[in-house]
Amino acid sequence: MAEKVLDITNVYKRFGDNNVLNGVNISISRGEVVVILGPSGSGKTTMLRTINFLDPADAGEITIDGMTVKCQEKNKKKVRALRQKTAMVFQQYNLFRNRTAIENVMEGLLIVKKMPKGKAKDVAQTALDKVGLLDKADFYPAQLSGGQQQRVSIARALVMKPEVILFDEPTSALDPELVGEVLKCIRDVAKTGITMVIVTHEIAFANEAASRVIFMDGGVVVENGTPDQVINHPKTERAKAFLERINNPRASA
Amino acid sequence: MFDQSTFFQSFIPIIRAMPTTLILTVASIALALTGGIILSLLLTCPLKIIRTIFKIVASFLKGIPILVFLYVFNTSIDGVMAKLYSLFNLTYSNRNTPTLQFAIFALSLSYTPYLADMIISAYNAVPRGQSEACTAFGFTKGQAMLHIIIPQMIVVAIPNFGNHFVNLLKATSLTCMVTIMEMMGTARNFATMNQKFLEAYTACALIYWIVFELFEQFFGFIERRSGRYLQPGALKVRART
Repeated sequence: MAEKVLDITNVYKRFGDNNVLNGVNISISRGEVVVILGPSGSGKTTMLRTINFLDPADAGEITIDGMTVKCQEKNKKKVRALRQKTAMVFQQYNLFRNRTAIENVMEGLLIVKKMPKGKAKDVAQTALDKVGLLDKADFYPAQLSGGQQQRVSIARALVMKPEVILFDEPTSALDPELVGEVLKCIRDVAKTGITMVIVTHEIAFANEAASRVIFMDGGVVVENGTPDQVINHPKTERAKAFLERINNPRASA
Repeated sequence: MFDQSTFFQSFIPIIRAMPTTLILTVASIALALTGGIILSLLLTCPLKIIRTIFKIVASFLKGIPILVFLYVFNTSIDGVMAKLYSLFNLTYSNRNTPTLQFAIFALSLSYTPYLADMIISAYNAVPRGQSEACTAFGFTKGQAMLHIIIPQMIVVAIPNFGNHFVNLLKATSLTCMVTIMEMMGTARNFATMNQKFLEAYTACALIYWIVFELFEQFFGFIERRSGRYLQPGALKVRART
């Protein structure tokens, strides 16, 4: 089997009295496309945000590409070094509003990777071309549709050459007719062999594009297997009930 | 009766005093902005004690009329300067008192809390996701502020800043009460000497309005330019080098 690239070990997280994560253990190999499913409040987004320390967990360890950092780590340099092995695609895109599409893609290269401007521009152009938005390079985010913004943000994540890309519900804020273009874009990226962790509600997408599906509920991993195992033949009652509701929204009413 | 020739004559001395008004305005707003940046950091300090102390300070500064500040500062000039000079073993002569500097200080002090509020609200107006994206990509806090957050804060703050600027411009007229010969003081002098009050004061009003309008237009222009990227309609493809 391929080498491990991401290990989430015994991660606990609480917000006030609310225990959001209760000992999450996930291990991901290089090149895997892992989709995380689960009802809202199950801790999937929080889990994703503990990986890059946007919301540092209270206990546990994160290992990325051989570098282990304890979740309570206070040393900013160490946390930042670990973060730089990841890139994130947000639900609300979070493109830099004061930067054009191409400047958004270049920003991390210039500031974090200290790449010379000319080279960064070349890299950014190639990346924008890959997501089909080279003609929108000089547009500001406010001038792009939601789907286009999300594709720019995928390009922005790609150019950082991360060990793993984290997708936080990348299509949840989009109009239904724009979901397709973003999913296609993610699927194309997946084919390049980069490791991805995707939190989503798109079951059909999980079924077809994921190499592994994890079902979370109550802050723990409940099911973990191939899309066929988890989506079509779930073992636990909780997963069955959730999938039932998603596939058949009217039945539960 | 309104004496037109005096009205027009009074323009000359008032316009000559315009540099003093502008110096007062620009120096005070610059000092107030510096103070406002420091105060905004103190008001959002993680330590609650610091926050509470400077909330009281800010409220105190806001609660006092500018004229009172000017009088208090003006009355204490000689005492303060003598103390300051004696620290360096110098003797202070009250023939060239730094009245203007003290007036600038007084004006900026009363505007500092407003500019601090302006900065804090500009910071809060930048969506949380902007700094989150910076963090997620491994920016340091300073890099995020410098390249992403502060440029967006400035755009948010410009209309507010323009308002404070023109308000301060008008407030400088109060400094004529502490013997500074800016536009208002000059108009009053001219009026007293010629015993033509209405003429001099209406001329003064007109000049204030013109200067005000010039700055309004200027800030409006800056506002439209800097906010371009937030307007979905205005497609503006920038020339790239």
